[in-house]
Amino acid sequence: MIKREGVVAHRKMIRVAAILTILVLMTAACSSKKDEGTGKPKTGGIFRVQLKTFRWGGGGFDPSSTYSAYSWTLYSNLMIRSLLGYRHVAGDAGNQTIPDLATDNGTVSSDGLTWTFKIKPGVKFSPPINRAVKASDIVYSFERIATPSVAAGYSFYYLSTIVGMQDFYDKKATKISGITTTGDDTISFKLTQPTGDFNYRVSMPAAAPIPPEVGKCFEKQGEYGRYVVSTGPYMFDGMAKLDPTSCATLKATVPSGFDPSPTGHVKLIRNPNYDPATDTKESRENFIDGLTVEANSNVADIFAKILKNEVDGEIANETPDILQKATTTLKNQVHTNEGDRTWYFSMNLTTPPFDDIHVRRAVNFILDKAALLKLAGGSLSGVIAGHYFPPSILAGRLKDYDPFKTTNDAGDLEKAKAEMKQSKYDKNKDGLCDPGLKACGPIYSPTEQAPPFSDYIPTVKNGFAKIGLKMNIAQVADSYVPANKPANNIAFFMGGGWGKDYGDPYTFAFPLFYGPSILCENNSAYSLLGETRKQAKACKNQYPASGSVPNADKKIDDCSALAGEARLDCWAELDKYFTENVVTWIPYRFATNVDTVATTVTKYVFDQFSGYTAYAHVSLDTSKQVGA
Amino acid sequence: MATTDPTLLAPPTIEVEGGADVIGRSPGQLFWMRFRKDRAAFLGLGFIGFLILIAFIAPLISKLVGHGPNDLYSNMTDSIGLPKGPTGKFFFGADQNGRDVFVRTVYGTRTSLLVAVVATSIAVATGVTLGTVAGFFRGWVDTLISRIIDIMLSLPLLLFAIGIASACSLSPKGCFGGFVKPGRGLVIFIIALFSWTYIARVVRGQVLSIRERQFIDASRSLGAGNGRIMFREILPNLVAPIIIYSTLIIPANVLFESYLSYLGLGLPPDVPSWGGMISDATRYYQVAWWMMVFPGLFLLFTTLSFNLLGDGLRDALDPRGGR
Repeated sequence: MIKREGVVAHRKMIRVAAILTILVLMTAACSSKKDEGTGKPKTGGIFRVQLKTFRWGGGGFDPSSTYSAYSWTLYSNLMIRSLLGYRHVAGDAGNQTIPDLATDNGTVSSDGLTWTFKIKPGVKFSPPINRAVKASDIVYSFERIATPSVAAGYSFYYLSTIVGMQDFYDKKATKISGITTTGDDTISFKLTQPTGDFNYRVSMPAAAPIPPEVGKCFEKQGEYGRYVVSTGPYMFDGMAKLDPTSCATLKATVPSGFDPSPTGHVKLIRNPNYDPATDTKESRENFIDGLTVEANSNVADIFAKILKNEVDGEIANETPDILQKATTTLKNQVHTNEGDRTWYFSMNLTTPPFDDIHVRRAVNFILDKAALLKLAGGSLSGVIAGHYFPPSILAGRLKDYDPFKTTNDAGDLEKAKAEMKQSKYDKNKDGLCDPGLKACGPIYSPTEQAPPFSDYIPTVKNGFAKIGLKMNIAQVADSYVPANKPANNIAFFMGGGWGKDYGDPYTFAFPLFYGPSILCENNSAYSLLGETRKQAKACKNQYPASGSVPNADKKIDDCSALAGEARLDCWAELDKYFTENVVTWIPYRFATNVDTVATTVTKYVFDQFSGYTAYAHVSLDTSKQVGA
Repeated sequence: MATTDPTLLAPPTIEVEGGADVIGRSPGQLFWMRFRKDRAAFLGLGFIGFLILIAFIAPLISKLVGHGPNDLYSNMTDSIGLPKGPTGKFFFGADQNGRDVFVRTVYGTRTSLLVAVVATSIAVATGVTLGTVAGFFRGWVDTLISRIIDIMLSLPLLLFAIGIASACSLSPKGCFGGFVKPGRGLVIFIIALFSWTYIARVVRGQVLSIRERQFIDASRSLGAGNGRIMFREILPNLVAPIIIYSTLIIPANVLFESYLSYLGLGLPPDVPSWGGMISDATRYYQVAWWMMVFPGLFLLFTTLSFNLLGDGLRDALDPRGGR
């Protein structure tokens, strides 16, 4: 019995020990998870990025000219500072400007025509310049924007807005009369009209200071991109080796930190002249010691390397196997955020049958938007779009607005036919475009060979055929080439997709719907809304027999002059007007940005301004990096 | 009176051991005797017959299955748009659009055979005509045609094909003054353009040899013109090489069509083609093997079958030719 009691006691001890062991292990597991999730991010490590296509938006990485969101990510997070900047966080807060180089958000005169900013003391250019930033450096940046040879990608935000800038561009003046400085730290902008989003325009990379002693050596498109002088926490590797004595000595050495060739690279290191005291943690935390970007055309390989921690981040479209695991095994690595981008099919208002609003409404009703969403990656790729401007830049306005909503977003044949019956192209009123009419097809539409556009073709063809529209959709290597030229009279274009340049709908309304924005070459306003007969003659595109095209220029001007809530309300009303009364598009998706990182990334933040990883806030666990 | 030995007029009878007589056979009989012994060629022929059959009855198969080649079944993709695999109703699974891979593979047979056969016919007609003319007339005509053939053969085939396909797809008017328009016609044009040269060169060589034979001189002495000699006297002697090369060009053209479709330069995506299906599948191979395997197997067996048949025909029609 004694023996038995001993055995029982022994067993009890084993049980207690086992329970204690389990508790200890659970506690350890929980605490280690807690450390990983909420522990203090570590400083150090090189953030390694691979991207599919090594392109920098036509400007060769020159901040004055490059019109590419990923370039802006690198500039704004890491390299250069504008008067106003961003928090580099997700959501609405990430779209709002905050002071960066400037001491505050600037002061605006009572008539809204003069904006004045004061520059923080102590901000210095990186090597090889090593001097304090002056207001005149910002003046020079604006002169570069107005220098034709620089080919500034988004000069339209400034040329007609700042007094005298167009004259400088046209070489009628040697200075921009609307930009004045007081001392080295104050700069004022005089505007031609009240511009409620001017704070955004001065936050753009092109508006950041450039030292003239370097910039003036590189005033042809793309040249300055290899010599960008930083004001931010990081700079190109090799900048310290440059000799800025003259243009000749400067050009004698090329910094090793940037090679713009298709197989090139970016290598950023810390800027020794950056003083964190002149910046805020809200804007930049600068945990990493540097960043490298390399090209890798093999997308599957990029993601394979991410999964093996050989690469920390990517700029590529997620492969299906990644998407498949995005919500399960990779849920801590795959991040989705609002993309501030609308995907749409554009209809040409000057070309039959889309010169008839009833046809445009009919196709909006017939399209199976749910199928299109699935083809782009389903719920991971975004949400169904019911209007034009992403709700994220309307501060949540019109979130549930969709006048062409159908059951399950699968299209509604009855509603589509009812609209088609009112069209001039359905004379027998059977709800189908009349078969004998040339306008009813085949309607030629070039589209991209690449998915998801190529995948959309069956959905579009099948849907349109239900209301008698026969589509001839051809896959071409670059569908934007024919679509960008109004003379080609492309009636229907499936490649439409537009993301904000900054967090204001003007960046949609002006380039896409403002009549004077229509260009005969490289045109993005595919619908030709607001085109005049004179423009049509100049561009050699057909013009409707009715003699006019709908026009929204006055409405855009009115909204543009406003500020604050009134401005957003105005844009929301304009969006409704476009969606219901003009109907130039079939908006089908408000995009989500999907971003995959390795498990080396211990702190991930999304930058809403640029739409990519906020490198200003990320941190790494270097012990997990493979091959670093 | 002279006498004639009747045995001299009778056909010679050769007695062989065992008493059996040697039987005179026509070329056709000889061909069939040799061809039927080639089991691989027969297998190829059988599979080609099967392909032709399913190409003809593709709409019937589609009707029996209940799915059209472009019918979209949203229930056959998951919430993030990934295709679902084979089921009792979708024998080969679905593609990214939720279309039935089985029905599309069957329809792809129709596309591949049609494009390849039509393009091959055009190429053979062009090649035979130009090859015959070059070989028959010799001189500057031969030089001109032969140099054109040399230039065509030296062109980087795929690059030019991509260039022409892209250029001709930029507008609905197509290219060459509207002669070639985007779609199936464009694919056939490109394939024919780059495949007539091989047969032209072979035919030219044969004609150069045949035109020196005595029966050509005899024909000319009887007053036959160049046209008659070329197409009534010489051409019938080229039937064997033409058949052999045609059967070998067809699988090459099936593959060519697949290349173009794979590169997105071939047929519109709603026209099922194996190359296009395999191209779609490359994005999904890690999660949807069925999208690649089934059209891939059909493509493999089709090209294999035509090659086996071509080899068999060559062996049967030209037994002296070495491999």
